[in-house]
Amino acid sequence: MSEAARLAAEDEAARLRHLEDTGWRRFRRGTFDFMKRRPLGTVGAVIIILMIGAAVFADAVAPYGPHEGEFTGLPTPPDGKHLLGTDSFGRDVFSRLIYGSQTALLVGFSSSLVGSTLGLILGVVGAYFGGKVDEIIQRLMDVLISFPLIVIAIAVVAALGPGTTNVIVAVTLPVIPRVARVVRSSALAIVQMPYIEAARSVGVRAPRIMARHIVPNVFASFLIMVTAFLGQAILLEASLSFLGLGVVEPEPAWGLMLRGQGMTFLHQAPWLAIAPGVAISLSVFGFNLFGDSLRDALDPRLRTA
Amino acid sequence: MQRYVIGRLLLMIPTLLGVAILTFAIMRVVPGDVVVLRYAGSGAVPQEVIDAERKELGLDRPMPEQFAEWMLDIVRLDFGHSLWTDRPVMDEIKGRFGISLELALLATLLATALALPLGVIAAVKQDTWIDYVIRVFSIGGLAMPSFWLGILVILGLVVAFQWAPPLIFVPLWEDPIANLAQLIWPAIVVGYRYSAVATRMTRSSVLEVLREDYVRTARAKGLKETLVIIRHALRNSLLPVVTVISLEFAFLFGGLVVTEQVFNVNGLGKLLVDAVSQRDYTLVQALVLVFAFMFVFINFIVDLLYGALDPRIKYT
Amino acid sequence: MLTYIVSAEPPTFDGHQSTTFATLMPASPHYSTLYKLDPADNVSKIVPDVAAAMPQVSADKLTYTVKLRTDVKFHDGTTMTSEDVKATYDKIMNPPTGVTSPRRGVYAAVDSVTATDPSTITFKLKFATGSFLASLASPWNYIYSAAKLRSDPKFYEKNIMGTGPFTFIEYVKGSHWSGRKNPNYFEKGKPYLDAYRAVFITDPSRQTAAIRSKQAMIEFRGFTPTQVSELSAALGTQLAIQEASWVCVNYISFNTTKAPFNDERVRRALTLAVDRWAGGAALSRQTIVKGVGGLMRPGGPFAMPDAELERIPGFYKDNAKAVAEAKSLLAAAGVPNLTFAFHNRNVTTPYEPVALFLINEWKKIGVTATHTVKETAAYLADLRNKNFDVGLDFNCDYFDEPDLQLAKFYSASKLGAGLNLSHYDDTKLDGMIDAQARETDPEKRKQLVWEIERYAMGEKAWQVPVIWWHRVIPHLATVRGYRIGSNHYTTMDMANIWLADTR
Repeated sequence: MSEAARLAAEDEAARLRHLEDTGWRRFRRGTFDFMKRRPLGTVGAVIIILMIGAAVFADAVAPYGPHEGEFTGLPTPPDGKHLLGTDSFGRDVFSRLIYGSQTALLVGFSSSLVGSTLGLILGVVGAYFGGKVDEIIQRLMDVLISFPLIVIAIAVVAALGPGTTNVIVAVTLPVIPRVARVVRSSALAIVQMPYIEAARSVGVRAPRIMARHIVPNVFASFLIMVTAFLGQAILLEASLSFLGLGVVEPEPAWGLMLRGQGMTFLHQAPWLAIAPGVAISLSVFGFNLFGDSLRDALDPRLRTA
Repeated sequence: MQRYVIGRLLLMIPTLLGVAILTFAIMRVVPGDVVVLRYAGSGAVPQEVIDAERKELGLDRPMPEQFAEWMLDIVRLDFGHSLWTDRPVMDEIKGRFGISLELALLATLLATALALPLGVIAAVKQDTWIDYVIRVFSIGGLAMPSFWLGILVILGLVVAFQWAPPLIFVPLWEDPIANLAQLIWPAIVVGYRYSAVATRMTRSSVLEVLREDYVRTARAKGLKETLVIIRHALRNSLLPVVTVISLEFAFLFGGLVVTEQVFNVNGLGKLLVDAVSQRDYTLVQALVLVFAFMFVFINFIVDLLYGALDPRIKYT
Repeated sequence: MLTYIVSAEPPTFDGHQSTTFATLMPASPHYSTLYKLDPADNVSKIVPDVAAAMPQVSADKLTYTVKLRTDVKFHDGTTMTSEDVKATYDKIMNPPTGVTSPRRGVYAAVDSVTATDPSTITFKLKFATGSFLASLASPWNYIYSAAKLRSDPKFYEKNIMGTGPFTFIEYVKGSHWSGRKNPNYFEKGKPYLDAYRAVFITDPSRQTAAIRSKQAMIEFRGFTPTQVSELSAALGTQLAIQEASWVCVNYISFNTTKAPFNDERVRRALTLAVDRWAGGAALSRQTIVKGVGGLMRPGGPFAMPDAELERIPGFYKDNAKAVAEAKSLLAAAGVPNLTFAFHNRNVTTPYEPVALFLINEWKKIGVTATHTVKETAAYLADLRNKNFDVGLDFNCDYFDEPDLQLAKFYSASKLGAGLNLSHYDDTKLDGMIDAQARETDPEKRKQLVWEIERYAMGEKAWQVPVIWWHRVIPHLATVRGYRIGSNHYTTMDMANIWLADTR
């Protein structure tokens, strides 16, 4: 038996084992399996946990406040007092990185969770009701998906004012149609199942059917999309910062640090660019590695690119 | 089939209409207009100058009137004049269309050339170190903000060779070398980035096919592994990969905003950013419609391809 | 061929209608003006361009008679006469419908323009003014063909047809603008260059890369100190660096239609808190600002001496005293812990660091300013529509001239409409500005200007300058004949520039 075939068989066995487990035990065994069989995913998970830790315990971890510093006009290189040096406003780069993880996670989680949830609802509703409802939702999603992000971003910045909020909204909007599409196609298959028909005929209400029977079945794809968009959101924040539409000074945000102080002092003080650059790459890397392995583990047949 | 095609083509109309309405509304809601911006140069300008020019451009008329007029013009395929340059919008777009198309094609080509072999190898060697290296490499493309990667590439070239990609576009048929010298770099940056998604898709798609019965049968018959993969696995797993790549192409076409800026490529993405920040309503409206049309149209082609390639799908 | 970087796209070809360097830098090589700044000085010395000599001014200073050169030809071969000059100035002062003229207010003093004979043009003024010669040397006032303007008043918005040293080849939007030597240029032996090409690059790191890789030779607006240090490290002696102070400054604009910014104590407290001396030194290391001055460029002919300046609130050398005074002013005004949104545009240089600096300074007096950044169009719309608390405004001019620099201090409901973004009315100040404009004795005029500075930025603090800009131009050493001046608008006709052979 080839290597690939052997692994496929193992996957199958793991899945069967899970079916017997319940509750905490299922979670524990699942996690253990995941760690053993998906080392890359585990690396990703560790990065994510570190990042969440940094964000939650920022006040304890960061040696200085994100805005603290004496303005001298020139950055200082890393030394004993400042692990990653300071920027030209005398602010400790390491501390700003730590606080920056709060911004990154806030933008990442809120936009991908809100966006994916809205997409989930729209996708499931469309698939369940079909007909006119589905048609209208689909057209709306088409409009949203074919609309350039930059126009949305500028509109949001101008309409809602600057800062983190608008970045979240601008990043959330494009997530919705993408999730809705995938969820709708998975849900379509489930809607046709006999038990859904049975539930309908005995008078179970639509919201209940959707919540109890359809959502759990598309939840795996939902979860995978959420992790995928988490990484995307952090990158988008950086791109929006580059275009001058992202988080604004003096808020600590990685994309802004890279575009602002980082680009300005790229030659005299490269650490100002390298530090946030690495932070961004590492976190996107972490989310993608974890998401990828999660996809493999939960459902290798999933076609969510 | 014919009915399906006509039906799909008709469905594009409400989508495009929706896009048109949304663009029009968004651009008018956003504060500031082209006149204010035109005089942003040195300090400020008397109000009477601003008012006079607004009137000249017809921006002082009621919005429904402006919208109706725009719609009527579009039906006659007249996209109007750019508010910024006063040249026909189609002339502004025409020059850059080719540049963006070439860049998107180059990037897609590079992405495919990377993704297909890497994806197949990763699938065949699933969960070995080869698989891990490939996955780490491909996710690496996703992990850097595109402007940062672009700036590093240019800087690398300047530091290493005291050379930077040409600033001025030359068409491929005039001077292929100068043309590629400019466009290959952004194409690499974007292509690497987008190969990640395609690699992942190839990998999972091949994995899926490898578990199908007929592949097991082929193996059981004692066919050589490479033959199994090429003849059965790759061919049958190509469909979703083609889908992903074509959809990416559609995004690439209008989505290279940041990359074009960094590499100073005079394409549609840069034109859109400039047009939006200059509040060039007519140009933005036309550009968004062009992007939306390309997107919807490529989607449509992909669906047709699906039908042609996969005998299980029947359009009725 | 000279290749230079232009960092923005021209909104129009017509210099008369433009307010941005983005028109002048690529288009000026095609045109001439009546007078111009001496390219060897580029600050204050005015010399003839198509004029044959300096103007003859009547004893009452109300009539300027200008003799024109007779050997000036347009690019279409026609000879330039006084008719063309008259048509040009008529267009600027009384634009036909559908054509705008943002600077027509500058020519309010002009009564009439007469083409006395084909080579003589006469300007009659309503009142004597010290700034009129500078107005005739304005880099925006391209001489246009009367015939072209007659056939289409908007001809010059999309077409190029001048008398300048270079003829037009092409403009590719988003990419480049190019021109070639005009063999019939009236100054014999010039231009030295065969051709030029302006390339449009907006991204700063791409700009630096272009010079570093020698794709471009110079950028005429100014680079940041960090860009300069990268270039000088990379290119060494192949790079020449010129620097000078700049007739450009950021203003803090207060929305005086809104409490508490209608209270002069609050405004004065906010300007007091800003330690411009320390700030200028620190900011000059990373962005394009440096000099401390009032309403006129520091180091310029109208600048107030430091000893006098230091007495104006906001310019004290003793920062502790200023902070204490600011705090007590805020307390007296009843807003000791003032919080407001500080309105800024999303342009990094120099707006972002300057704003951050101000926010830091205000923190010292207990004021919390939230940085509110918008992209340029929205930012300008908000400032004009009074939709802000306090904002960071700016002003740039081509010449050290109180009439230009003080224009934005006129009452918002009168001459200052659209210019005065603090939106106040102050008839006393209007009178003071008018008085200095009509004063033709330079020494007396200086005193009047200083009086305005003490009143407008010290006592009333209507709108206050932050730190004056500072130009640094790093260019390939092969580029010769360009002298950095105090502005980025003048001497852009490229007639005097040549490329040294460095083999």
